Amino acid sequence: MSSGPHSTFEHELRSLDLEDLRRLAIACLRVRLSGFSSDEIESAAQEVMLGLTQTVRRRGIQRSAKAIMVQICRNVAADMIHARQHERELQRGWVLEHETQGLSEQDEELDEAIRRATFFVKEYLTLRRAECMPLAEAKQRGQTLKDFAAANGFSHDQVRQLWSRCVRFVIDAIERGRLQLEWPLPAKRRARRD
Amino acid sequence: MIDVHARFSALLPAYFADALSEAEHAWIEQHRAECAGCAELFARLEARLPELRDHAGHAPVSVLEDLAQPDSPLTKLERQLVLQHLESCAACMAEARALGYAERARTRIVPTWLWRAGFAAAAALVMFVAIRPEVPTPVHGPTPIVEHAPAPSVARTTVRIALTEPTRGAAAPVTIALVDSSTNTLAIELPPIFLADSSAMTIRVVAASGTTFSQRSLIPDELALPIRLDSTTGPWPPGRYVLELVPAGTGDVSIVRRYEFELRARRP
Repeated sequence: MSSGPHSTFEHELRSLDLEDLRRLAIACLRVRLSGFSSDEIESAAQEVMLGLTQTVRRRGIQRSAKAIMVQICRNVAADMIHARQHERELQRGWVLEHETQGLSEQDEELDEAIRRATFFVKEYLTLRRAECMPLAEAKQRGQTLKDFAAANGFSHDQVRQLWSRCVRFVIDAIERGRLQLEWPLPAKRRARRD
Repeated sequence: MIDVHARFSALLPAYFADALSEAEHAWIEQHRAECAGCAELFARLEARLPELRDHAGHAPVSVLEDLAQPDSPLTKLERQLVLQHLESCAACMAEARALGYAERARTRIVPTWLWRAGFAAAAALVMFVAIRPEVPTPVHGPTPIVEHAPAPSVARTTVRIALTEPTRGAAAPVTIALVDSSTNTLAIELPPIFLADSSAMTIRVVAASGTTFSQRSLIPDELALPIRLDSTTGPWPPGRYVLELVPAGTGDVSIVRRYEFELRARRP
């Protein structure tokens, strides 16, 4: 066992119920990896647990072990699906570490805040059955308004105006405090001050 | 004194979600041009956007975590949006449960003795409906009929009912729907109703006998979607009903809206 700063989180690792986390990992992987064999899911669960323990050893538990586990499950499942789709060898590694290598805590939090903002905007427009729902879905996939316009035979101006109309709903909701898209969230801002 | 750099980073999530006003968008661009540190932060986030989209279409893990917390930092609307997503995403629902989320049981309003009495009354109503003359068509046109063919292998079915707003000078329309013994849920589509965001209300379905068959609270945002109502007595019995929207008194609405509909037994 190596000594040094990484070992300071060993006690956190020992406090985890790894069997429970492994069982939850398998449940999460099963839903995302339909069509994969039980052996493949078992291997993926091993990879998730190894990634979880390495992450906790190096960085401790910032939010909760289950949240770390769920994030690694998503990444491992996405990797396996990509590998099957593109018929390339799976890059084995500790995917959470790979993603967060070199990232500051602020950058990680901002990444998650962007995911949250994109999610809530899309879901709110879905709730309101807004005319720009296809736009919101396209943006979530990484398509720009210009790409969408070109792909669907509209002018860029038309699409921009449509999006502006829809964004008004979101801005109204933010101004009324019903949606919280800023970073950090007000509760976390207060906690940091205390 | 406002920290402009804190304001810049605070607005970045909405910027990348394209949910900023024109003024705020312009401010972000201007500050980027003036501040090297913030410009670098912006560039780092922008470079990682393709990675962030790897899990697009799913709820972020922190959102599922927040949902599971008893003192959740989510607003009421945000919570509703997450639940909306979970209804259609098995993967996120599995993860939400793994993170400790437990679905709340729906509260039954009607006590047992009352629903039994109500069921007897509904049975008597069925006999009355079976022998009385046909209901005349409203002045404004034919009454829409919603049909739902129950799948033979499914024990519980849902019937959709689209209610229409009465027009001035015309008889109140009565929507008719066909039900059978497997119809446990009505999916009610209300006509457009404009309410303040703070208006909480109760939706209630009352039979002609006065028995309440379903009741729950809802918020204005739910009005845009079909409202699913289960009968407290099991399958919805045929009969005439009134759906009432009763304001909770927290908003600026005091009127009780009422819509009539009728459930008729589907012929085998």
